[in-house]
Amino acid sequence: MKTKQKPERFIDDEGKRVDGRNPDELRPVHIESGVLNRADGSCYIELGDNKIMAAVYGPREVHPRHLAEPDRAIVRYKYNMASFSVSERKRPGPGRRDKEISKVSAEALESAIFLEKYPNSVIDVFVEIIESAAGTRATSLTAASVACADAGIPMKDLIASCASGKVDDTIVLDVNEVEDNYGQADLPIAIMPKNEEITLLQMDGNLTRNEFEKAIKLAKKGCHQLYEEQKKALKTRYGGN
Amino acid sequence: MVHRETVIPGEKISTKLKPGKNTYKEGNNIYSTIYGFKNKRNDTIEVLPIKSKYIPKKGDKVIGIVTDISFNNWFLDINSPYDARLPVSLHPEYIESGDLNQHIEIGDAAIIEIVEVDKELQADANMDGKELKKITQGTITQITPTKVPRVIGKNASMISMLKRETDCEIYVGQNGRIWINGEKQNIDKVTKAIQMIEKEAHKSGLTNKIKTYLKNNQQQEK
Repeated sequence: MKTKQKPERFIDDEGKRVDGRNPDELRPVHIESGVLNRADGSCYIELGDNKIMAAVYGPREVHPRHLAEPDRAIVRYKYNMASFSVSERKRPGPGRRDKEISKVSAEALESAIFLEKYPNSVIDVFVEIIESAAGTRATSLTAASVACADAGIPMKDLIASCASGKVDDTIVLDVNEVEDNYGQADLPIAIMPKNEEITLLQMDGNLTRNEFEKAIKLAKKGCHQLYEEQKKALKTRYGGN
Repeated sequence: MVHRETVIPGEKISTKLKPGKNTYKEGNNIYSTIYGFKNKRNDTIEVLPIKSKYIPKKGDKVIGIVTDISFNNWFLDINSPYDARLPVSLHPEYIESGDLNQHIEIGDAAIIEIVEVDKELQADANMDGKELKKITQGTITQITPTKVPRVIGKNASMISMLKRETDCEIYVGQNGRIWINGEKQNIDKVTKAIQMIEKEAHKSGLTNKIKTYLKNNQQQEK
């Protein structure tokens, strides 16, 4: 696979993006829950070319013990990219970026979980990026929350997460690889869809205040669409309704 | 068993009823906190979990496996994020402090009763009572604790059927560990049946299905 070049224009005369999507359109998404036998809860997600597996273990005993909190559970989130998940081989092991993503994702997930129900315990979330094509941190979180639900962990709500961005001065939903690499801005966001509480918000690039408002609004819309898919994945497993 | 609706965390399940297990209230609405089946009980709405970890509860009889021994306590793993502590004073026999491992060693299993659970969910156990004992023979199998009522069945129908059909001694701990004792062939049969129950717990007419399965198995052997 060659590294993709910067296109001349991100949006053609018909208003279509490089991959033929409309500016407010998500990539095709597929979510499956309960795919691993060994884990307490698991989820596999595909969003465009992204392929991500999430596994949840817990609540379980905390080791090393000094990390335990006597009044609540802790969440350990490990975001890990397989070395073959990107076009240029990634050196295995957690780098600066992976650690940062793990931290913000753990905090995003924590806000949805009723931690006080399981004092002195840990909920371990492992996310493996098998193939990466922009938007992995958001997509991971979407999968992780389904895996947590599958593990039977009590939560206020699921967490749905996706990114919006800016290319050719147009706000677009769910940026793809080219748009992410050469675009003007990227804004991943995670929400609890029920009352649209934001649990993760990051940005790189530049947006004006108006563009920012618009980007948030669009990203939220994308999150709601993902939420429907998450719901479907969980509900159809036991006969559905 | 009627067909139950699957709900997910954060899903609105009612506006009028009282919030029951695994739900929370926000404004006038009641939401589910877990992934499970919606269940209406009189004027309460609750959610029955599909999977869960065992949380020690006072009065539960569970099967524990000894993981650690101190000067006058055994510590047992009870298939939960939390250990159970069994003090030497609650062993049926009189034991001198320091001689604990002569009676129950690390790796041994026992049926114990949870007598007290503190704020941090540390459980204290008792082994002095009816049905409570060290397990010396047979096999232990494990299911998710939420399926325990299903294995026992209404008025113990499922469990007595299993015992009748397979001629095994079966003890179901509240924590999802099940002790089976009998002839090896029969133990295997019960284990298979229990796995089937766990897999198909959300379907109805299960007792008969399992019964047929066991009967067919017997005929094959003859």
